[in-house]
Amino acid sequence: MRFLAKLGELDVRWFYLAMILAIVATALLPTPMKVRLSPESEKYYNTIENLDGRKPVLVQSDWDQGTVGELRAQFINTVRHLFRKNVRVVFVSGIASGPEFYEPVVEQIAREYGKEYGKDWVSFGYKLAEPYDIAIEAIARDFPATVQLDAKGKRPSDYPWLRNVRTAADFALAISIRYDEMRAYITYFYEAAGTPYIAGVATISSTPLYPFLSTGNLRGLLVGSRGGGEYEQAMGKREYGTRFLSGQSAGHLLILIAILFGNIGYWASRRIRARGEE
Amino acid sequence: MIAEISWERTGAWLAAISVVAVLSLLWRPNAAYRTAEHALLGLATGFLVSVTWFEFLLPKWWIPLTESWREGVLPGAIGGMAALTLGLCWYGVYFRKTEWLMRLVLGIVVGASAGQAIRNQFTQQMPVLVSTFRSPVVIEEGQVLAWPSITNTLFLLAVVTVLLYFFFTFQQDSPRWRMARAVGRFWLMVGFGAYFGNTIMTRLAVLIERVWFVVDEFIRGFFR
Repeated sequence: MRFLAKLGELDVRWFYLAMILAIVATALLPTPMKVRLSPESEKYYNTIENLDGRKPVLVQSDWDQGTVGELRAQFINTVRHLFRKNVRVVFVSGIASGPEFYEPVVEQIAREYGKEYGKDWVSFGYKLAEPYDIAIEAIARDFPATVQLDAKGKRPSDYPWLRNVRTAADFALAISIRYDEMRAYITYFYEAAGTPYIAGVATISSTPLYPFLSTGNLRGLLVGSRGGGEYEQAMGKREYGTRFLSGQSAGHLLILIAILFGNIGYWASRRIRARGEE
Repeated sequence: MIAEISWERTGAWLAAISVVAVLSLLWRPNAAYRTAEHALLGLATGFLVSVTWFEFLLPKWWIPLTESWREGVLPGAIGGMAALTLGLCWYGVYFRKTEWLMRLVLGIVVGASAGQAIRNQFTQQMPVLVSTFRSPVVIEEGQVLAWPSITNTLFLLAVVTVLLYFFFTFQQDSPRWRMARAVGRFWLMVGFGAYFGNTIMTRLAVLIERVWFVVDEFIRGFFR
């Protein structure tokens, strides 16, 4: 009983050490995990799958160093899916460091699918500054005036396929991949112009979004690293997103073991105290 | 084989050392952690100042203002000067005599935000609110669907009992009310549990990415 009671008194630093060792192990070992699309990820996948490629898609990419773990796989596979469907893509960002992260990734995927800058995709960089509601309203009302110049210093009108893109109605779909969702797209793209909106978010931000999914205001949702891993496997790949799931599972398993140890220790120490009082 | 030294590799190693320094707080507070913390704060502040000028003030205010001035375009120049005047009003908060200037711009911002919030209530929240009114019996082609009916009934039970939990208009201490509140508390705990679980998942994802970065850049990268 005393041994069990000691489980609850373990120095928390042993737990930290075990956690880091478990994560290091998942970085070095191959990943056998296989997952299927959850209903919210399936909706996200189908929304892109049903695009006909006549209108471009607006992608807001706001992942950087703080969210790279959860959002990188979501972004990579979203771009892959759009390029596979031969959809033209317009990239914008709502954070200053956004373009530094997404542009090299898009260039690499574009090479994979034989896509060219200016013909199949363009990047306007950091054009959605806070307050985001006003920035998204501006892009929905007058896209060329809001984004002004792209990464190459050209105006939207310099690209033939962007000449007629002026408002939210001229986009086929709006996608945001960032820590939390951009509800302004629901107001200014979906409700005002009928352009659907899908989002990839960090897990922490996902809980309040499910009601929006069931009403259809949000057409699809990717939730954290799970959403990224599921989407990656739906795209027939097994890379970073899949590998990440094993790290996440190892961490969760360790947390469950720690909770179990803590509760056993607590129960044992209460038993010891009760016997002492008798 | 030990990797060749380059600027890019040196930067990656510096980043990996900084990650280890920050994580060393888990062992105990130390000088390495404090150095990394201060460096991060300093860099973030410098980055913010640079971004504000080069990404916003320069292209969206200074260049249009100076160009309008040079070319004699009066509306552009007046607009730029008005933006500068309103922006400077924020600093009125530092002096008692000029405090009212800050309230002027604050009023504009609050007014604009309130206008948008009202619109958002109708476009974002109302459809969600309407979707909470669900039939406890789901019938399709003359057949009662068991599973959707059960989930809708549970959903309605959760909505009503949680609303009762927050009903403070008059005091009710009868056993039925207490039971309804206990059920409401149970559903609230389910909701908070989901929030907390998702929070842990995100925090863990940040740790995994950083530990993998150290393994890849620092350990594997050294022998690349």
